[in-house]
Amino acid sequence: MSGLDARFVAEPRITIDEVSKWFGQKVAVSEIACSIGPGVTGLLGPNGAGKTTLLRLITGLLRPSEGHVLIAGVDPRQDPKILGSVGFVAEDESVYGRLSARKFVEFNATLAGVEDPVVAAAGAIDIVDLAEAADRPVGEFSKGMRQRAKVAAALVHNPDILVLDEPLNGADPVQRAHLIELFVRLGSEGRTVLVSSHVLHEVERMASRIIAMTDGRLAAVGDVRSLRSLMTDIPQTIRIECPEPRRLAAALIESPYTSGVEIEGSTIHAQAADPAGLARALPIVARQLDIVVTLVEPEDESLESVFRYLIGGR
Amino acid sequence: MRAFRAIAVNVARRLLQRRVAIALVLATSAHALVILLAPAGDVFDAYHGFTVLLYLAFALPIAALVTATAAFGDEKRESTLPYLVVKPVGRLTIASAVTFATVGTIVLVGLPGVIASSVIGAIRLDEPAIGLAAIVALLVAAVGYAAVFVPLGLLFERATLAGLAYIFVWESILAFAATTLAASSIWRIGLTAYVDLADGSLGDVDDALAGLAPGLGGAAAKVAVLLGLSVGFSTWILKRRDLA
Repeated sequence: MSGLDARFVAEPRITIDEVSKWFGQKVAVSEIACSIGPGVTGLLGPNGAGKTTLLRLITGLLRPSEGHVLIAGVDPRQDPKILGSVGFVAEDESVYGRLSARKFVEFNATLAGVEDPVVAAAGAIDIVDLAEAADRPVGEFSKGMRQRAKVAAALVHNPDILVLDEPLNGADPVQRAHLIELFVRLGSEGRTVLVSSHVLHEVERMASRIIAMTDGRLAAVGDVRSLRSLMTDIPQTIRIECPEPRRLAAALIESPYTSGVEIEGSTIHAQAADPAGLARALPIVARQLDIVVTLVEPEDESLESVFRYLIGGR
Repeated sequence: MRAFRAIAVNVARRLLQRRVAIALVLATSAHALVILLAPAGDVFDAYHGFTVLLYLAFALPIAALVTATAAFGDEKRESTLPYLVVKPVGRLTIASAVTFATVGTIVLVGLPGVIASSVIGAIRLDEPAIGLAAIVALLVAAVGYAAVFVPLGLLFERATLAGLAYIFVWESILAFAATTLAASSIWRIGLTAYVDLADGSLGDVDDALAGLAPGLGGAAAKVAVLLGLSVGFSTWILKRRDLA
């Protein structure tokens, strides 16, 4: 963990106070304590890490088995009025499929207490770039369009706090870029945006702060740079493809950054003792040997492996 | 009030737009066909007998069960409950709007059958007001069954099975065998209103009361109390239980 202080922010909008949640014998979330303030915070973790459970606890859908969740100092299960400042995108694809996107967003606006739901819905639909399809039933939408309709529904009452559970699921690259830009802008406006994802590079693009979870516990909390530095120290296997793998492998094994190599056809599987050092050394060595490297990629940079490393030894 | 209306309209629309709603309308209209086909001398007995035995005691409870358990049940199954509960809306408002919409939907599903049988009965018996008792019984039973089955849908994944046990074991067997339990049978509460409003002796239909006294006021009071308890219980579940 990157230090106790990193778990808490100076201006908390969401406070998670030693929260645990279990379902029968299964512990889904265990003794989580942290706070979330204005800006974009990424909630990162592999599937099954407890991200969705934590977000459901924050929004009051689940009751903590222990501890408390406060939104602006108020327990949302005790006083649902505080949920007027919260916009929530659930992970499921759930929508009222027979409603048009416009009616769906208007419905959410009405329940959120918006004065003029029709105008607010039109604005939110424009923000997510869904105006052309707004009068079609949401049930006929692609997954990505459905996600955008859900984001519009979450934004329609102009909330201070956005809780977004895998909001980029199903979106195509253009839609992803658009949504990421939107979340970054909302964060820069001073809103508290909590976005969960299991895709590290997506979270990096939008979040200034990351809360990393695994097995229902906090694995790391901090800014992107501190988490990235933790990750670059992880031993990795790097796949390198080139026409003369034996010569390059012989040179690499001599370097202090490589702990072992395996050759398979034109591919080198290099065990990197220091991935960052190897990344710097590889082009220099290849140039010295006059070998053209056609591919360099990590073989094991899945989030699961990162988290296994981060929690190693616990 | 806007939230109440929005939730009620959304729930009623969703319940009515399900394919099964058409089947339920047809099932609750079957007795009209029997009355239409009854021999001329048997129309009076057929009208009251089948309105009670086929409609009020069988088709309507099934239609109410399928409708009412889906009111919250579908929201849970389809994971749309967050759209209602992650909102600044009181849990009492949510529970009462969903229950109100369910009562309305059960009435809309059950009404075509009552209208059809009433029109046929009125023509064949030359009694223009014959349908009034059945309409009131439908209203009473709709409130009562919604009160029982809406919280079941919120509590249990297999709420329909629990409801079937109530209809076929409790209402049909236990409440029939032990007359002291008859007062807990929703369709018999509806029947007390029906017999109160229907003119004259209804023969076998009177026997189905199982000792309960006919009376519209008593029936209305009972289902009103049930409704209050039901909304209170649903509110408590929404406040105290996990909703995802």
